[in-house]
Amino acid sequence: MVGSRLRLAGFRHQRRHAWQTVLAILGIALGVAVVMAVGLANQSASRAFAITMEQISGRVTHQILGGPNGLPEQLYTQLRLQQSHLKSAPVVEGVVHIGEEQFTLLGLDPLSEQPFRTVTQLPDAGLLARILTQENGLLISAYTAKRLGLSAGDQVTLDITARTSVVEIMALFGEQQGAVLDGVLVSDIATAQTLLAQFGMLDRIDLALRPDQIAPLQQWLPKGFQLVETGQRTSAMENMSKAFQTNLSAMSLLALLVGGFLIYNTATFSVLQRRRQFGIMRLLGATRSELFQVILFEQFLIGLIGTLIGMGAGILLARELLWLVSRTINDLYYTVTISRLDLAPEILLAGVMLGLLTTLLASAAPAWEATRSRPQSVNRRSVIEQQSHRALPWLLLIGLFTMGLGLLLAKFSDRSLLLGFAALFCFIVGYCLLVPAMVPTLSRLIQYPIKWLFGTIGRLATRGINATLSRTGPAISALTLAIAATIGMGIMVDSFRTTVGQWLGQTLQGDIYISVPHSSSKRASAPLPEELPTEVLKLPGVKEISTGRHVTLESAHGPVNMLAIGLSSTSYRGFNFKGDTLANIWQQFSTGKLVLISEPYAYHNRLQVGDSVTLLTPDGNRVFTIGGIFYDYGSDRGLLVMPREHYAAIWRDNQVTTLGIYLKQQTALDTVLSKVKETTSRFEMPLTVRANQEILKHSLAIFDRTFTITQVLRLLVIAVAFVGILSAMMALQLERAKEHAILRATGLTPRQLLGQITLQTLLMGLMAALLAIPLGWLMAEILIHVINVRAFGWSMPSQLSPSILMEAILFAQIAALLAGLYPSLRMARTRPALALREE
Amino acid sequence: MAPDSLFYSPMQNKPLLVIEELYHSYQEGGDSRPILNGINLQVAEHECIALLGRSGSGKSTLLNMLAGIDTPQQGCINIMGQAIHDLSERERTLLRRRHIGFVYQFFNLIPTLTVAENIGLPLELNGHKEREIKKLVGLILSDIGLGNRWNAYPDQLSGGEQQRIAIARALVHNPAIVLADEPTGNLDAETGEHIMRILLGLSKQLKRTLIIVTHSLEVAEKADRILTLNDGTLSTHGDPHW
Repeated sequence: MVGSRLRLAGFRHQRRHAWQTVLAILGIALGVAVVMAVGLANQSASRAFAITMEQISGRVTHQILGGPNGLPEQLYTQLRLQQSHLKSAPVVEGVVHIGEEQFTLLGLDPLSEQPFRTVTQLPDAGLLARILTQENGLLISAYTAKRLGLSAGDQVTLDITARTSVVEIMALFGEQQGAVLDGVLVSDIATAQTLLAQFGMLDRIDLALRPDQIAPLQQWLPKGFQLVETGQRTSAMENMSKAFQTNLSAMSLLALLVGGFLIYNTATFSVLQRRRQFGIMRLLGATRSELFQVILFEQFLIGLIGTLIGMGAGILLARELLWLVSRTINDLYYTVTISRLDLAPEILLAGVMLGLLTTLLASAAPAWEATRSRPQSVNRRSVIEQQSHRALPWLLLIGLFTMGLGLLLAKFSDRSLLLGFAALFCFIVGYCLLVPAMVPTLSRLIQYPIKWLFGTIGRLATRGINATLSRTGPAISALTLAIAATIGMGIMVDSFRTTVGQWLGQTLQGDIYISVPHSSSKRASAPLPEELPTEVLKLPGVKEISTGRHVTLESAHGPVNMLAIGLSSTSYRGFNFKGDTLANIWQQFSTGKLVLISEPYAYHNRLQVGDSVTLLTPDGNRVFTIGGIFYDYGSDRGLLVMPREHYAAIWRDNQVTTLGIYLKQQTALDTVLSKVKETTSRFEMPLTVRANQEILKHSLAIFDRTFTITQVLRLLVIAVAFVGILSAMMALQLERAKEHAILRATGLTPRQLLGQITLQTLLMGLMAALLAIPLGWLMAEILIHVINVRAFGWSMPSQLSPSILMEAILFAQIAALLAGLYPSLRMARTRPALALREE
Repeated sequence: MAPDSLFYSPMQNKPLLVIEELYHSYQEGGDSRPILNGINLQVAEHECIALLGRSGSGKSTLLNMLAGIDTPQQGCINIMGQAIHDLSERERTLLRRRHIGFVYQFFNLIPTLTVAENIGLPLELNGHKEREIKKLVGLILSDIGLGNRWNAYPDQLSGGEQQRIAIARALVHNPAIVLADEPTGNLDAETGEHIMRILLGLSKQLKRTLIIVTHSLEVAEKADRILTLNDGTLSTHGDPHW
């Protein structure tokens, strides 16, 4: 049992250094808040998706899927007639918008629904009759209706594939399910087919099968259709966004790591400041374990307060992050409406555990160090510095070992994203341990020019850094880590943006592109009017056109995006292949025997040139050889490319989704652009017409939007680090009160003292910036060449932009200056006698 | 036993502390500088010993070894029948906690604890009940004439007052041995005199064994025995006067 006076001494110390305690609490609170916010936002997204799928799928065990245009209604009729013993229901599914908000429209057959979904259970037969007979009527979830201020009988305008339709809300559903069905609209199947312009076609047929019914149904199923398990399909969809969510989690952990550093710094300073006190306690008979418990308990309470505040802040932050996460998932992966934050107990518990564990781990070393100090060293301040300097070779060794471990993890962890992050963290921690060992060398290097520039003040400033390494070392390490994180993430995002810009420049060979603004189908992009290509070709100044058809096909690896292209004479230049291709690639490609696959598709499915992919066609499964792997940054899910004429023949789909227009030389772009817009305006459906550069700009805007959340997290990491630096600098300067008082007593003016302290903090900032450059570059290399490849399958060259380095150095200087300013002013104003007496 | 023998005890009480063949040296660069060179000493119960010597002669090192916070390279220290070198670090700490009190030149009070809390700390570490702690602290505070400074913090006290609190803290838990390392070294002559009176008076009153390290012959003359540490060896300085 640890004595109350030992604890009391600790608490009073914290109270006397309240700012230090508050900054430590703030650091851990920010770290925990970021981790919790990302965890809650991710969890809410996953859970919203899972629950919606569960409600929508109900007791569905299997689904029958077709080609890019879905499956004909006749198949369902045949199934009901020939396999009447099976429980089946047809489904039409599409994407519609009410205002800016995206919804999933489910077209169901109320008469077949009974075995499947409870959400569509209707309160009375009268409503059933209305649903079956009334055109443009739909059901909306009670939660959504309340949220949007709608009620039964109201009319709403749906935006569907650039058209609008006014529909009536006939009834509300899912009152018991609360928010889980937010974002889902339900209508009769015929209404959905009309609204989505999918006349006579279904998206899928839902089935509730017993195990013995599977094989006979597979035998019965005509060619071109596929029977898939529901769970398999749902998890395949959810897995799409897993890498994105893992990346967010890892970034949030970086904030906690920086927060942990802050705790370590604070605990170290707190221990250093009380070394004398601990020594006295040891002299009076306090055992090492009692002291260890006292320090750990004190830090535990700081951690607990920080964690509790962090939890509250995390929940608030999660509400803000939620829409960023949901927007990115909707932009890149699948439709999910996350309107409510899911306060999952496991995430809350994980936040508490992480906060407390980080605090205890970060404080354990200083607490242990305090108990190892021998009581007789109480009066010998030099002992502390001697010990710090003696520890340097060990820190160097452990740091190098940890970095070596990181290298091994990065090299031999195959494709594991988590181990990739573990490697990154090993590098970061290892490098931070090397920093104090590098400080004396840097001090020696700069001492002569600084002395030459600033005289005695300069010499005192550089000597002070080295002489108080036990204090300056951790502060410089913390600053180094923060700057390195800024550099690392900056280089990664910059390299990515540059690569995407170059890739878009190469891919967009055409001068003008035409497409449909919104697509309502989940499987195929909305088609352009049939006669549009011919009309455009007739326009003056148009040399040739390329055509594209975007669809989602079923393959042996799950759903896959396919781009069927009708190439122009210059479209070939748009492909940049990774490694070798098969011989005569374009000649073979035009025969339709080959497909080209994107780099992410090859990576995720472990495919190489010469391998094959199996695709579901109306005539059954068909095998295609992979002719080449091309760089593509459009989707991390991957893309297959084949000639449109062959795609059209195999899938009996002659529609075109995008049109690329190539102009004759010396033709004015603006003139043709207005002509094309004039042509497209003649068609009923609104079409998007964009010049090459406009698409480039628009795409980069979407890129930046995708990285908004990364930037937000980066800023939060910097915020945590800044609190750490401020805390370290203040503790450092105040801890050296007596030294400064002696200098003042010896004759240094307040201005000279202010100059000396400011110069010292600036030098520390400069050292941190210089030391952060290699670590930042290393972090960027791992993020680009290990994490990005494993998470998304994208490889790209890293680009070291001098502006990022300049920004980092500037940030380090400003942070150091700001952090050193208050303690400098305070020390310069303090009466030397008082500081000497306090000591 | 001859009167000038280091094993001489004027009160002829049983030995509380026995030091045999104590050797210790410090590494200075590549050289080894002997600091204790075969020390032998026996201290009886209730005896008061003054230890003189030049700066760096090893007086504080010897005191630290007696407190079990430094370990000799060779030799044996036996306190109340227990050989210190046979004890673990924890056992040495517990021995110090129960049987040794310390007074320092620079007071070494805990700045974040009040006067009463500072004095009560050894009692609490030794497992005394809170009521008992209050009673004992109250008694000793009146003994040292600071009964009205119960709730003051160390930085609100003068040097002499701080040293009186340090003495109270060293004696409150009734230790067998009190070690004082230059207790008046940081005080003016008058205050130093006053402090010595309190330290010696209380030690005598409470029947404690006292070992004082000092530079002052005047202080040393108040002890039962005066020993001088010179070139690593211990010798008697003269007959005791007190």
